[in-house]
Amino acid sequence: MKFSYTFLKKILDGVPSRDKLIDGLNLHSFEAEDLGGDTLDISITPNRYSDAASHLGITREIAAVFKLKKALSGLKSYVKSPNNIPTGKKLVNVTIEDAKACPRYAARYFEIKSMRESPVWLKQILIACGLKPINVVVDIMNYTMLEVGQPLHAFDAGKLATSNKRQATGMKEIIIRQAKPNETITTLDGQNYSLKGKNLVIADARGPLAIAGIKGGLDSGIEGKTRAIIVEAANFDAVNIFQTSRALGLQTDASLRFSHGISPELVTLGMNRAAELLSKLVDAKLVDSADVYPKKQNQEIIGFSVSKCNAILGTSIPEKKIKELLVGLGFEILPKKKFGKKSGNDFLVKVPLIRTDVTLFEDLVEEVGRLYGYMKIQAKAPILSIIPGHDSDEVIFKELARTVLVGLGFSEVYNSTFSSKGEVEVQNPIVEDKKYLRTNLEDSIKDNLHSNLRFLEEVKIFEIGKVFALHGGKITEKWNLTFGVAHKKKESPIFEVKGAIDELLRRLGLIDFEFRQNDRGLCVYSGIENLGCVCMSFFSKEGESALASIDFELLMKLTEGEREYEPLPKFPSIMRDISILIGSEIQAGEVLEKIQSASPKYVQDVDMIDYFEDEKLGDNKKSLTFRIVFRSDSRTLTDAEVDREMKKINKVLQTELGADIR
Amino acid sequence: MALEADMLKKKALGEISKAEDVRALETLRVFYLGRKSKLSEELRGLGGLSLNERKKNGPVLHALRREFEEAFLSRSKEIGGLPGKTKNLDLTMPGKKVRFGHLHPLTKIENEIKQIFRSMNFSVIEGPEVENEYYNFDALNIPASHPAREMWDTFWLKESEKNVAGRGPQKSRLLLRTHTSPIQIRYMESHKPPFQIIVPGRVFRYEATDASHEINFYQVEGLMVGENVSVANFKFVIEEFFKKLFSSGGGSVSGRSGGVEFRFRPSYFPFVEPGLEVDIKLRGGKWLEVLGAGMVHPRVFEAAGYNPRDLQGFAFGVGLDRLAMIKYKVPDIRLFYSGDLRFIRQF
Repeated sequence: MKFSYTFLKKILDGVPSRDKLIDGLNLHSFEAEDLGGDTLDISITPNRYSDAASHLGITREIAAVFKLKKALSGLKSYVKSPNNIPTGKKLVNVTIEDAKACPRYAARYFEIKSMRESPVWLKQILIACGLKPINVVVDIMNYTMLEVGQPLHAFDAGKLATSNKRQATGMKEIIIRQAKPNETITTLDGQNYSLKGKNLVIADARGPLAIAGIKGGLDSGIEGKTRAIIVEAANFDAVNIFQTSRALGLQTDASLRFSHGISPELVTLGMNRAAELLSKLVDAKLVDSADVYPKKQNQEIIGFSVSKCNAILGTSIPEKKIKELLVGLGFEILPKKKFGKKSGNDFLVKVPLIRTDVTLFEDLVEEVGRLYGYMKIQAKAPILSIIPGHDSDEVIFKELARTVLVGLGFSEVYNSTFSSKGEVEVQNPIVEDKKYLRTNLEDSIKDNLHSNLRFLEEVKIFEIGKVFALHGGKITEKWNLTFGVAHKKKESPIFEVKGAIDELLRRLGLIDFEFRQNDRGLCVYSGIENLGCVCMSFFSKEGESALASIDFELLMKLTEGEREYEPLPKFPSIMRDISILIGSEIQAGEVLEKIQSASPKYVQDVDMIDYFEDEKLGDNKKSLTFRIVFRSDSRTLTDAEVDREMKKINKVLQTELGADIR
Repeated sequence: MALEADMLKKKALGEISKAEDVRALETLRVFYLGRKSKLSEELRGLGGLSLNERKKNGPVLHALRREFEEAFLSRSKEIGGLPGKTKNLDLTMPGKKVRFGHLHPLTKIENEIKQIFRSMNFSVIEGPEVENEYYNFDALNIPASHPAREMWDTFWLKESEKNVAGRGPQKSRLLLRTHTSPIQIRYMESHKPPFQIIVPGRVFRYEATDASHEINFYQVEGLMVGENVSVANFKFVIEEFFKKLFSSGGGSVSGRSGGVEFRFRPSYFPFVEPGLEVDIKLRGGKWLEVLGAGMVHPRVFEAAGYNPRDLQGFAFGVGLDRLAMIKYKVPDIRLFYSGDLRFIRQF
């Protein structure tokens, strides 16, 4: 929010230099920045619009932060209450139909002799705060809002309808009500809005004069020839104004303040100040008024415990100092006995009505903490009980997988969660091609492989990320691991991917798995569980790539049991090589499986160590060589035993696969 | 013959012992042992000699060859060459490229952060990316239709009517978490204090992307709850964290050798009271906000089923991307999600 440095100095004596001011506000109140010229940008936090979204509010902060005690008392009586407010003169009447949406509505009827140009100093302040001067009445409304924080509006009284029953007196009727079906309004800037039931309007007997708390209507606007005005200072429900402002796509300085919730007590301050300025600048004469305020704002009184406050802050600020800090911000300290004994409290704190953000003891602790200064609080090492940390499984498992993949030469990429296709749809996508949550990581990894191949001879990448799906209408999210290889060489990188899966799964602690070829391609299974598949080689003009996608959560589950210690082998193993000639249509995997199953008791491991196809071998034949490791866990195997096992294996290969043993 | 052999031997052994490099040695080897060498010729000629002469010369020549071979081998070892196969081997050629892969810079910085907090006995926890309105907002004291919610621009997810209806009276809508804070509630619901955790994870904001904004990015949440956890404790933990993170001379951060400058100032988040923010001073003197924090709000404790009278705690959230950008001097957040290895291999 924009503030004028000149304006702050006009209100408060002793405002420090800009640099000091900005520093002080940053460390104790709000983020502040010098925008150059006369303008400061101060970020009012959403909870402080009631008391601080005004120059008066900021000077209260300044007085507290820089301990300008005398100035503070001056600020309390900054706006004078007029001696005599004429009321009941039958010129204006206010009716609130929706008291929840409008807790207070005050109206004052002024007569003015002539309209004048606003004085230069006033215009300059408006401009410094980003507002456009319009005419003196409107400028006074805006200026007052900037000064005390209460949004105000002025109607041309002459343009308001008088209700039929009041015609005799010419009394103007102001009604605060919900919009009627199909009601529309043209606002001061000439825009048309269709209103709906929940939108609150200010209306006369004819129809809407303004969208309550947001913007005035064109038909009742102030003009050069205006000679009678009705000034509105009102309070509206934050949620109502917020929703209407959003629904209409219309945000104004007034709606911003009302949306955040401001105190109805500000109405008095704003109205009195506007009256003062109207009288001073255009000789306005107050002739009638109304103030409908059925339910007064509650007075908050909060018990304060010095020891609890110091416990939360980790400080030992004496009671006297705490009281000083609170009083500096306008809080009143009430002795405990006056209000009866509340347990554990040292005194009671009366909260200024405009501080709608302070309702709990902790809110007061914040006031003490920030004014004392967080920079001044000494850092203290926490005292911990010795309970060992316990990371969640997925954290550890992801770290392990990343270490292995990086060791295998893969580099990690992060891709967007959003995709042009998928199952889970975003209600409010940012662009059309990011309408869905990704169901896989493959698509983006494929893109990454191709695009990187433009600059590199070989690309090896992986990603670990969440993928999303719908199962029976329910959204599920799962960790997935996808990695791929691409290069400009001629041969397919598929075996590199397959080999990497093998090493990765072993390193992650999964021993019981195998590759199977099915209609999805080459897939990894552990028992009946499918862990994922290798996406077959695919080409692009840059080169050839292959990738694999692994259900990371399933893998995590499967390795849980396997991550146990296995005793080292006690007995030596015996190795035998076997070369066979078989039909080239028979897959190596099948042979491996047969060997395993032929001698399930003693075969520990089978590796394919040689492979070739040659015309000399005969039509459609290939030669495979396997190295078989035999071992028993209970004794040392003899050569004779291994020979017997080899015979069994040979027989199975010959009879079941038609293999020639070479 | 014997005299000739003796002379050859003397000359050869002398020259071999003086050979300075693999190449010189190889030339000598060709000269003395090569196919066209005198020794080879003599050996080939043995077949044409009489038995007597063969008996006389054969052993001498063979002994000579063995001696030469041994001399070459030992000299070769001395000058560091490889026997036999050293022919034309240029050892100044670069080694074959064996590459380790590279971790993503965000993983790298996340690992560093985890390490620092683990050293202070924090546990690392994760939570779901698809959240519901209750955990993301309501339980964190961010009521519906409150402008404070506008601090978190949200992606909402489409759901089937049946699914929403089945969720019972609160009908909490699904969304992509806008921060890692929902895990505060989730963790407290199922754990008893005292504890201290950090929660790294991907979060989502509905906003236009540019050099410093992404619609998906990373945060690390921190939460420490106990009987006496204070703002002073928070300051200690966070100061340790930043000192260690930037100890190795931190990228764009001002301050020499671990002397990072930071400031603690008041701020507002509905789920903390008091609320704080931490800024880091960049080279050039500009302050950059890097961390939002505060003492856990009593209403958040209540939402999680704790009694706020008995407990105190602090919570914080820090943007991983922004820290990585400062630490590694990365100018554009979008590079993290580009999948470009030319970028990733720099880390």
